[in-house]
Amino acid sequence: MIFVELRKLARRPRTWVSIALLCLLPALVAVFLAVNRIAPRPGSEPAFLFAVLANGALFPAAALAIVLPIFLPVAVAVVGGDAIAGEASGGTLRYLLLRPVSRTRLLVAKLISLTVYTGLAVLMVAVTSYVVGVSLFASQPAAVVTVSGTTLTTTELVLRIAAAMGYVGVSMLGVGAIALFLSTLTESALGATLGALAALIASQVLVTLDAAGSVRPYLPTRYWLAWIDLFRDPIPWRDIERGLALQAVYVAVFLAMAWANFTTKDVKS
Amino acid sequence: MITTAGLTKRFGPVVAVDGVDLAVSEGSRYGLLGPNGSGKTTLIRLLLGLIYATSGTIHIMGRPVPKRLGEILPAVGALVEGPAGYGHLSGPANLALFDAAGAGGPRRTRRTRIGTALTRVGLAGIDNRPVKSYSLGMRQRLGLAAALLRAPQLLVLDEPSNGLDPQGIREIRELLRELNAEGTTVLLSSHLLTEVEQLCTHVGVMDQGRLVLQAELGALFAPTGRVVVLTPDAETAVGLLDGQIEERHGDRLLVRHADAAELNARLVGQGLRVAEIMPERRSFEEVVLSVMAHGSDRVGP
Amino acid sequence: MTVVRRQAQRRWTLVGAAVAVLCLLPAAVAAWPQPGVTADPVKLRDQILRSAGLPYQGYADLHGETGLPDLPMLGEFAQLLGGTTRVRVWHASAQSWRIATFTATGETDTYRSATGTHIWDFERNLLTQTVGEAVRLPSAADLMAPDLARRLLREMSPADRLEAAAARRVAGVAAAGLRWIPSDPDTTVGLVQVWADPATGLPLRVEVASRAGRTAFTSHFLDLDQRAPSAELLVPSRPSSAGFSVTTAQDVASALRGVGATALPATLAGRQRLAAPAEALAGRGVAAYGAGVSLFAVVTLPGRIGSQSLQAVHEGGGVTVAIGGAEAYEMQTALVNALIMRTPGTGRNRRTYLLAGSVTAEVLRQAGADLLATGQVRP
Repeated sequence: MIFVELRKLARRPRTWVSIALLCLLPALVAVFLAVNRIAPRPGSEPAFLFAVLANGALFPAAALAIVLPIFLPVAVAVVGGDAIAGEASGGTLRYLLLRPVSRTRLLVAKLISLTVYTGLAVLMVAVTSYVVGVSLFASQPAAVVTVSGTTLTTTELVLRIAAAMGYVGVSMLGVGAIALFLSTLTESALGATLGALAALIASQVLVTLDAAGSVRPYLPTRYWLAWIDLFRDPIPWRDIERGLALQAVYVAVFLAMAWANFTTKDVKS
Repeated sequence: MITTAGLTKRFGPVVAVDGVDLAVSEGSRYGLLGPNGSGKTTLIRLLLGLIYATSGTIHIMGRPVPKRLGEILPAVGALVEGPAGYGHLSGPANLALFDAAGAGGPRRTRRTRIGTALTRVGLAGIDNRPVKSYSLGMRQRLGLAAALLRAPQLLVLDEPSNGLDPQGIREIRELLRELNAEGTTVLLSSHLLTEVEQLCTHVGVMDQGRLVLQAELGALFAPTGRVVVLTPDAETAVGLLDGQIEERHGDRLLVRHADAAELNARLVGQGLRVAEIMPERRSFEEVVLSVMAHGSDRVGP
Repeated sequence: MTVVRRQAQRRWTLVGAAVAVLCLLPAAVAAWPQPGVTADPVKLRDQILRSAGLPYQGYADLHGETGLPDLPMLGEFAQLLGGTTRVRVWHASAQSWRIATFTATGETDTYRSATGTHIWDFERNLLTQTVGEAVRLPSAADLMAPDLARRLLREMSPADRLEAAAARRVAGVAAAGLRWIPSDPDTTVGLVQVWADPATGLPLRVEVASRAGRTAFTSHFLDLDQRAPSAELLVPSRPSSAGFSVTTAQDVASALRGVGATALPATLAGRQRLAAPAEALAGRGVAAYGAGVSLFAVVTLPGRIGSQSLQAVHEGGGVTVAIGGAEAYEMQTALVNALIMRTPGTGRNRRTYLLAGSVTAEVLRQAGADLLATGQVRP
């Protein structure tokens, strides 16, 4: 079933269109930067963008910062929200269940294909932005400066960017699991996607609110920015560990809720 | 093959299926007849474990549903509420995905299986056009092909002739007869009397969620004990058969008489000209309508 | 009820229970009975005061709920008092340490060593070496729990109440606690609580509460390692692509170029001016007064900055107060009160004073009135 889901993912035009759009945005930013050479003010978001003019090898990091807050979660919420609800509204869900495909296995397969999609999207963004960054900006691979002021060798830089990609990918899984759960509740893929995005925006608002400090450590977006820690030296693992654990908890909880709801749900579409 | 007892499904306050005792025997072609909204599709979904009963039991091939659905479904082919596929993929690609999704057989023979199923439903020469460009009839055929992929013991088809032209309906009818002869039990639902009448051996009539009639088709057409006589000498006949005439419409008489041959002999013996004479049988339509309250989409008495 | 409904119910019960356990887990861990760490508060205080030489490294959070408007010279200090600052610290000794302040998009590292202070600012891609000492506002380094606790507890007077606080777990250490209730009626500080490692006396968490009992500032470790940090971490690295500059230490007065020599009086509102090094600045319009936890600073703001600050406080919710003929506004927060005042008159005689500190609004108003009186005496 997992291979069937992956084949469906791979043969779906939307998969590639959305990934292409995700890659296009940082490229667009890079082109404007390269043409106008007006660097953003230091300290402004997205992180690392101001440093890119000096060193194009850092552009994958800036690209991750560009797509992380909105575009990547939207893409993941669209795919996650479509997972069950899309099959239901297209009528294919009932035929899958009649094959028969166990409902639990279907959910797990959907989550795995969602994970693969996220990984693919992050990888494509990083690879295209590296190519764009190195070709448009000056590149001094031996002298990449960490946030803490030390320098990185090329190998270290590649490792850290890979780790940041992995972390950003994992960060998306919580949203994906929420979208997947909502997808089992409704037949409208759009509804599930918007629901997941609403949860995401609520979380992002609460993260910045001091009055919500007591729930902040449990919000899904709380540790999203911790990937920047991978570019500090020595790497502070605390937030990264917590972020990974938190996403694992979100995935477990929402997958369990999706399972509890879906395995005995009436499929009326 | 299928038995249900007291099967009931409620959606909130609406009782969609109400105390249905269905019995589909092995090797039969069972037609589930009823107007739109009478609960046919809900019943089929219940049988296939897509929705779960509020009360009552279902057994298919002697196994309880939905508890042992996993053992039942591999031997079942189904078409529920219209065909469905991934619009951006071609028909064969859709079938390949469906085949791979469940235990259908080894991967080596997948192409053969798909080819066979497509040939059976008359889509042998299909190209790689995406399904979204298919006509309704082609989609219906593709749905049937998906149901036939595994050579099922039981075929459950919801409105199989939807979207097909008369020629297509006939082809499908022949296909189902053929499959049935090979040993596949067929359960189909329809709102078309003729479709059921022409194909099925058994019929169940649903009305407002209840199974109001379930019988072998042949048993429904017993004579009514009246004879229809068409004669140009109607006046004379009325005089002759005084008291036995139940209705008269011009030259057409309805006579209460047990034996049409004897009545004919008597009329001819009296010198009456008889244009037509035959025992009255109730039409299938009359049988069905007599057990149904009224159309379900009608509001009010 | 059918088998399926019962199954559904069982599933949801299972998932609900699991979610409940997960949600309650942090609360349960927090409420986990602490090992019976009790320490005599006086002994603990002495132990804390002796802990100055201890090395430590780890993560800490500084969290303040004192919202001050953007006033000149407050800079980083306003952020420290009015928000959450995540810092990472490597402390070998009082003369050798490094502290990194994290922001969402970068970090600032301050290195202290025998050669002076180096500040690495990632966003400006600049390493700055600062030589010399200067009077300055507290920075993140001063507000780290060990420094802050020692600085505060040193100010304790014999009349103050000192009691034991319930032990709590801080950064994995079962820490013994003490509560200090200042007796000075003029301070805004109502309660200071310190938790320290009972084995070493290293303070791990400091909470400062207002008189109303509201915790307005917290400094605590999230992770702690009480071993000395490796030496290489304390050496600032200077990337070849980064800028480098050397400056002399900036004191608060020189930040306000051209203040002029407005000497400030030796006492205000009955409080003594603080001794050196602040004394050197008194002649330049900056001074601090008070003792213990009742402290306030007076800053003379030059013309334009003065008007802007007056405007900022006025529009930031400052309340008009009557002090002689001066235009004055005050702001009250949980821990810090501020008063900004422009003397009557015109031209060069007109002065703007900013008074702020951990004293009640009455004290500040009195100080303002005194300032006005001395100002008017001068020609």
